[in-house]
Amino acid sequence: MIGRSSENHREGRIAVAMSGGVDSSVAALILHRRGESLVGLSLQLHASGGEKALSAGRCCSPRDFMDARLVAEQVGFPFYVLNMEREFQSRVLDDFVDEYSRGRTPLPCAHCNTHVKFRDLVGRAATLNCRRLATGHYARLVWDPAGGRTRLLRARDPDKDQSYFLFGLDARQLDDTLFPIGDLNKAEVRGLAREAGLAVAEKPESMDLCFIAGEDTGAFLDRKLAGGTPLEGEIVDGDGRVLGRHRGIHHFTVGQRRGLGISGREPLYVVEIQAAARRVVVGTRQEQMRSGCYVPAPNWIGLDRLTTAMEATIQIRHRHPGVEGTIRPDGRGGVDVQFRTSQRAVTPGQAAVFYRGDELLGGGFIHAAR
Amino acid sequence: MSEVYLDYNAGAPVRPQVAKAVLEALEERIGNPSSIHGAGHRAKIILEKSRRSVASLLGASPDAICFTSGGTESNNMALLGAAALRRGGHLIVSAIEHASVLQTAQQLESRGYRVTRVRPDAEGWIPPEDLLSQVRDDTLLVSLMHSNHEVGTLQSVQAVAEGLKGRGILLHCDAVQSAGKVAIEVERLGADLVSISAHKLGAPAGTGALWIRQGVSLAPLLLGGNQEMNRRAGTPALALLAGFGVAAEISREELPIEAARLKTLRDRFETDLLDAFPDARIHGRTRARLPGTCHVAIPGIRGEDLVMALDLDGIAVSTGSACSTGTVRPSHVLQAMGCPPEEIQSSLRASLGYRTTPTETTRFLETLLGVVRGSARTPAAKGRE
Repeated sequence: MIGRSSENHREGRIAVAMSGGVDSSVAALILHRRGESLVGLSLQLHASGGEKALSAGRCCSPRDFMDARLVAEQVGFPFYVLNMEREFQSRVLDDFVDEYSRGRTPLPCAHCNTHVKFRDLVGRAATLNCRRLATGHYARLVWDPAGGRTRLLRARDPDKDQSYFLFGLDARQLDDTLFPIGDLNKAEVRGLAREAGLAVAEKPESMDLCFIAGEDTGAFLDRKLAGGTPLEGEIVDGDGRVLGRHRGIHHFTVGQRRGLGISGREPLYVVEIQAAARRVVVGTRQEQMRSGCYVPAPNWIGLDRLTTAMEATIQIRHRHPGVEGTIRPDGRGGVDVQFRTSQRAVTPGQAAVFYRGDELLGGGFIHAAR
Repeated sequence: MSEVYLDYNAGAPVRPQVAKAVLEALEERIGNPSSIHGAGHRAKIILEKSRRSVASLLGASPDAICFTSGGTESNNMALLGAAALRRGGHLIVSAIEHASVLQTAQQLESRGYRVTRVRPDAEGWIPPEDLLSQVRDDTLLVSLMHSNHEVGTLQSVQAVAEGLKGRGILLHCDAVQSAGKVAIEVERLGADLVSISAHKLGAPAGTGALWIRQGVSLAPLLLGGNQEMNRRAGTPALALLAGFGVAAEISREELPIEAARLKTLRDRFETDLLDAFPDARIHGRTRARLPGTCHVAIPGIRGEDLVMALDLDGIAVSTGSACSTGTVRPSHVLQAMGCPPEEIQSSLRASLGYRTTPTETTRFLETLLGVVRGSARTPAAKGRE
């Protein structure tokens, strides 16, 4: 489903961000069949790790670019690889490493969408006379004439919904955005690809972070943080009793259970990361439950802004089913979030995204759980 | 709408007469030029005709022409072949050489040779005295290109040759970009080794040549046969070489007229461009340059984006920097010239050639102006328009 852009300003080309996967390939296919004039763009976001990346089939590998290029050739539209390494480094990668060193768990895909794909890429696509951008995200846009705005909805397929990662988009940008596969489920997407004879029809999905190829996040961070301020310290319980030592707060995420290297009577979880003291606080499942969180700088899409407290469904991480609760303006532009039932793993650095039904109202990064 | 091709420095379109010659060579029953029979004889005739044509383009003797697989092999052969005959020693290269010279020098460095890289001035020209002042007792080879592939600046090879005279130092000159665009007489040039490539002349890629001054010995790169007077083993790519010969011949015949024609077109384009965008910077403009090369930085807009936008309108140009898919390394040439990163990023290279018409350069100019004006140029740059 697409939004206002299907009705208005038809002139100009549409830029399609292509990863070389089946989703963005089918997004392009759908638009092409609708008679749109397309330009396929793959983004070189980081120096791909040579043969390792090639064999791992991660995004941004030469293999993925070639897959995207072949789809463009087969469907019949021009295609380019756009170098955006510098943008990705400054807007996503640096922040990713910094956040971990501050004891938070970043959400790089949201930063990449907000800054790199839907801002920097849109700007560069304008040079190519592309006023609109299409991606292979599972999300929907509908033009609401009464409200005079484009509304961002969850994908039809709840399993694939990616709207959570799109909360940072500028509401006006959505007018010029298309999510052609938001109404389809994965099987339908693969079916279309198969039917059109696209070689990527059966291509497996990439689940990992695109910029970490062939190593785990901990090893990646160790490498990036080497030589900086030491981050190792103590593992303590809720009463401050030292249970052990750890080799860096960047190896921990709130809610994490594995890899603590200590045993308790019941399973222990990371409850809090005290970055200044380089302390990791662990506790029982009960001790990690939180009743709310604070979001200092939310972005609003479905609302102009939040003026009074309202009920919403709140999603606090990807694949979190959402919890009913209240979002309340704090008078300084921030939002106090109160869950109806306590939640585990309320993680600073992740996003709290607010929905009304399927509609995304807004969201922002979690500063602190409470 | 026909495509306007303005990327001759990357590769010239194959000339129709060349395509015909290649096809004829393929269709004619030719054999291996080393064979005794008639098919071998016909092959040898094609090979030697091509050698004469290529030699004639350089004002050289045919015996001094060693066919290779292209400019890259010629450059590799010159440096590696010369170095292999000495144990250690010193090489001088300009910092703006093609990667096939720079990476070969780097390879030699890792094997214990010493390498000095000489930087150009801000216009992409290597002052000969800067290069000559680096000469040492153990210097075995100097490599200086005839013209730079990105900005098109002509280098003072002759002055360097004068300075090296009688010192037992080999002078290699990568003339891949210059051949067919400016007149080259190897004797007057004074170099000992000169590389050229077929596909810059309008022949298919896959062949090139190294001119080797009589009496200069090089260790061969490829072993296993006595072809090319024992200088390069392997059966020659005969059909391609037939095309190389024809391309060399046409290039030589047309050179004086073409050089003047392309220079006029290029200069008019640059004047008009500067009228429209006074803040554009044309690199190498105050130095002698290849006649058809224009390398320009338009502040506030990425060269990469311009190349794509122009391509969508049927105009093929380049950013000037050699880039494989997506991974754009900032041009080492512009870096050596001291260009700031934003200027490097906003650079564009148009290179004209035998098929370029005034209508095409006009269309290029108009399209470029349209794209730049319609783009989201940074406010600072826009304010100066």
